Amino acid sequence: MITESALLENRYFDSVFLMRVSKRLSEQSGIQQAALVMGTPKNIQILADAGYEGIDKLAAAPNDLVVCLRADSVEEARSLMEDLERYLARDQSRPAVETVRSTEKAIFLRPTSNIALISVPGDFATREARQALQSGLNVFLFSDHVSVDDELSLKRLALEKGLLMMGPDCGTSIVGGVGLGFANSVRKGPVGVIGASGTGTQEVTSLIHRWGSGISHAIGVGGRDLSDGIGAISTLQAIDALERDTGTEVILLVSKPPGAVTMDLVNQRITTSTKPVVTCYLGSHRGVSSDSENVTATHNLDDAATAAIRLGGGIRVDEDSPVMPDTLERERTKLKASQKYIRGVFSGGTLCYQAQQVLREAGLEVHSNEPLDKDMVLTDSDSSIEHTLMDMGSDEFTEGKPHPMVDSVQRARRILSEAHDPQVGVILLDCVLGHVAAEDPAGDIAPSISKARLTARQRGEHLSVVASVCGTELDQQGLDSQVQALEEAGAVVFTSGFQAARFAVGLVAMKDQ
Amino acid sequence: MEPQNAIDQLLSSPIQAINIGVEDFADNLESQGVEVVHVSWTPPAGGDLEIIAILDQIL
Repeated sequence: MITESALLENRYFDSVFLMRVSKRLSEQSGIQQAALVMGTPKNIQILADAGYEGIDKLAAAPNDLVVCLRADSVEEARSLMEDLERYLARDQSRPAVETVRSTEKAIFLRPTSNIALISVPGDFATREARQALQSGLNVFLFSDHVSVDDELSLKRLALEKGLLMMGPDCGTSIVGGVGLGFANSVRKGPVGVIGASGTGTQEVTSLIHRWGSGISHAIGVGGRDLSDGIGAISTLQAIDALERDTGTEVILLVSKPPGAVTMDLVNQRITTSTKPVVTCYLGSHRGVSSDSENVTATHNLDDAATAAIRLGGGIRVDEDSPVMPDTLERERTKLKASQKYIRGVFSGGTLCYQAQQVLREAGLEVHSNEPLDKDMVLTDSDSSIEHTLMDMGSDEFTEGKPHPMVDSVQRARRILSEAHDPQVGVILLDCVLGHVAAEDPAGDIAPSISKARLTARQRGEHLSVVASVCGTELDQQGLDSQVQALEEAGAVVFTSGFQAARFAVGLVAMKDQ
Repeated sequence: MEPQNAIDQLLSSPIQAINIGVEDFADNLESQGVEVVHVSWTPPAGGDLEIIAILDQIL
């Protein structure tokens, strides 16, 4: 095995494009691994840590493209390096979007623009967002690694200018039926969502659609908006806007528990709302929030979606469940007494968080790299212990690597490694569809599900794989075919993450005593 | 009737977007029939944050 590196000066590409090219190069004959990154100090350090020797001597700048290959032979690596431009060329089948070199030029061309989507590296994100706000544009800021101080200053500027600042680290919004970032295709309807979490918003909007209602808007506010450091600036603006919006009849707020001061602030506001409000503070202990005259407090995304549908004047209409009533008993009897642990391998952070809540409420102690309770944090994220639910989209897994909603390689590997533990009875998964997500997320993890079950079978055990699919039949991936791919691999598939987590608990509940 | 504020206008009118950064997001908007201009962004001042900070103060 050899390593080969090259530097292309002043060739800037966005991170998603580079991850896609890295993946294509890794699939070429004789290539074990390919990493294409911009030459920022952080990226260079990641490559050096990954064993690319001498990479720090290239003197790369943030505008330079760094290409690293790990190959079977020097000849194979160099041959691919010579062919590199072909992989860096724009795919001609992609839509021809009008492209300019600067934001000023874009505003000049389209002076009636009403929103900027910003997804530049975190170090530059504040600058770009400030410029957009000062130009009178609402902002959807996908970038992360923006400091709390910068977030506060951007949100204060937005407030002063009467603009909406969605993010930073905002994964999902739906504005007037248009999905921004990772969003699912849903019908229009009476529920206006305010979401401090990307997959939480995706799950709840998909469920509302699948259970017969629809979404007016879903406004992402970024994961920290309801912390006391920010004080819910964007959330309060979004409540005001949805209250005025004629298409919204009920407001649904999804977040981790707000900071203590912010909780009072938000509660004061929603109790005086002219429209009914549903809250869903995931991860809180029951009783943290309670019903009042026009506020319905819920504790999981299924109940939140159900309450919002009802308050929007609808009735929840469940799809025909693909899971037969006797499935729980049938699966449970196949597990040995020693197979008492659940291992979750999630791509959606909020779905992992909600599943932990389900396990905790069933009296199970659950470990995680992103735990509900700080003392349950895994000391080594590569090694699960007892009940462990992993958020594979957390920073430690995505620094310099694609998010699991785009690329399932790390998740597939983790599913297999969990299957090697004879104490594991259940593997719990999510599969997130929608705009920008992988073309075939179920197809990407299905082979590892089959292989994991085979691994268990070879030592005479049954392994239950329990999954949920977050998405709708309008999503480009095709809901039915995604469910089918998971089922054919042997998974029991549910409509929601909450249902899947409860089923998983049901499988091991008796064994844990 | 009072003129709409910018947030109400965003929620009640067709989206007209400027996409700065990841090209996939622009492609995604275009495929949803949204009017979008993509900014082919590169780090200013060669990505040197100290120089950027100085330039921002001067300009």
